Amino acid sequence: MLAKRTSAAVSCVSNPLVGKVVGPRDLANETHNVERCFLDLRQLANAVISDELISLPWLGFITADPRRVEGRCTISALSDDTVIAEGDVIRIAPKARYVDVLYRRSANANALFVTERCTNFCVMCSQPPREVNDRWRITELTQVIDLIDRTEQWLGITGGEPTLLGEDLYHLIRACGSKLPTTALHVLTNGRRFAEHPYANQAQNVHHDVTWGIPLYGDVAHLHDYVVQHEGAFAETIRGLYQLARIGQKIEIRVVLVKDTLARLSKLASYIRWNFPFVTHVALMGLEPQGFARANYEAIWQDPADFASKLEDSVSILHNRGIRTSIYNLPLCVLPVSLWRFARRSISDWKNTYLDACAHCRVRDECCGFFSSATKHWISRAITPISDLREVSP
Amino acid sequence: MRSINSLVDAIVAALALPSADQVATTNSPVLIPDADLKATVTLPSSLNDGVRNIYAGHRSHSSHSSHSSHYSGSGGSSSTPSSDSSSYQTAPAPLASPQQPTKPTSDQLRYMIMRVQAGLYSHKYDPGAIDGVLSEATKAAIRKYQSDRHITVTGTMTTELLDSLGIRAD
Repeated sequence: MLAKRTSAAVSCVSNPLVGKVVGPRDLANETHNVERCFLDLRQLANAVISDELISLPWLGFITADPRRVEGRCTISALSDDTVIAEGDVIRIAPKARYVDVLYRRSANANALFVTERCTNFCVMCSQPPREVNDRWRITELTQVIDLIDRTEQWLGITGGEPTLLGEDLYHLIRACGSKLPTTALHVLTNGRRFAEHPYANQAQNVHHDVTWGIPLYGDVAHLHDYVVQHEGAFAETIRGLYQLARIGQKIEIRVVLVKDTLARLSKLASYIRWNFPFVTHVALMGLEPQGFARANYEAIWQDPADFASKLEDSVSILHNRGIRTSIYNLPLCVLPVSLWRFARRSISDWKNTYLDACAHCRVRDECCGFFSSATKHWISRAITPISDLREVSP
Repeated sequence: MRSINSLVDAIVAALALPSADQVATTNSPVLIPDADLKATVTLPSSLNDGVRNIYAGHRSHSSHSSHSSHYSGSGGSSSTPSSDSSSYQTAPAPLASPQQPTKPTSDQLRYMIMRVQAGLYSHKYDPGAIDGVLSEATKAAIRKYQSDRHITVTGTMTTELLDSLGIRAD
């Protein structure tokens, strides 16, 4: 786990700055304008740092010794030196005593966070919405897209509810398509806005490789509406799913395994199987113990040990229909071995951790592990390191 | 319900429809063949194919007299990018005219030398200071790098050298 923010001393900054971290390797190989780059002096021996190098119009410097570049924008005294590395895109701001990493080259997943606002209010939301005006994010993200590695394979777009951006969401997606032509996009949305025919139509041809990840928490309206805490959401999401299918979009259905959804999970799987056979992927997802989830523990938590067989049924209903199915966020040792091949290492590395018990587990490197926010009561009683693979071989 | 589903599954199996396994790769937690991870592709053409390397002929810094005065921000006191800084792009804008210049501007040259120095440094060679000057130390580092990589040893910024260091010359 590597945090996305670290405290630091920032000087000579009069407005928020977004830039790419450049070290010797990228100075040679990359093609970004130096005005948009922070030169990482930590990666250079003092002897090779020349006045000529420093006098280039760098956006700023990351350095242990800010005196060397006095009067210029500097980032120093990082509490964790490893948080920022070559290739990352970072943000600093006046008076902020920290640096934010907006894109990390070495991460297994990067996402553009487009808004804190949302139209749902899910009982297990790990990122509770806030009613704030954060349209500045679009401007900033446009800069971030310019600086992301063109070799990046995959980029998420998330919130909040991205469709609250209206047309701007499509502008952003198009910008990704032109700046990062080989990067696949994955947009997390509740899908409700696509119930509007004209809005959905604009999604057509907006990008050559975009998947819309849309949550569905029940096969009946009241169940889904309860989970997302919004009456009428189910109907809109269903319409949205069909609108996107009509214009040939790639759709992933995401099911978060809250207690009430689990109660009808196989019915939901059948509902998806019969009504949305066009989806490219279904993800059945363990809870992330953050935000509202923590407050609603009693209402939403069920130990995975108690729903393993239910999960087996649901996976086979989907899988046997030819729908690609995955299990996210549930460690291998709580799953029946028959489900292991559906389990993915789904947790973003900046919030991923393993338990002490995992140290000697034979399948640790194939296992998603845990959210670093998982406290004791969010961890299944069935956790046991796998010591002998023969015991679990089918 | 189960029996109906089992029946459907049996039909699917009988028709030999592609299973999800075949449709998509699944993640076998126990045995992941390394073969897929190690598969790499070698591109048929080199990085600077068809690019005229205007830096190849540069041999030393002695003919350039104004090295220290190129940067309007060189006092180091301003964090505002200078107006002539557009030349410090690692990839200068492609030229509209097919007629390419035979010589880089001194700023372009200086920046290209810095990039070569940085590239050598990142490969653990010692080009001396990264200062945009083709110094004896830099030329020696280039020669050593060229010799180690079994490419033509010249001590200059040949296309072969730029390709090997992953530096685009256009």
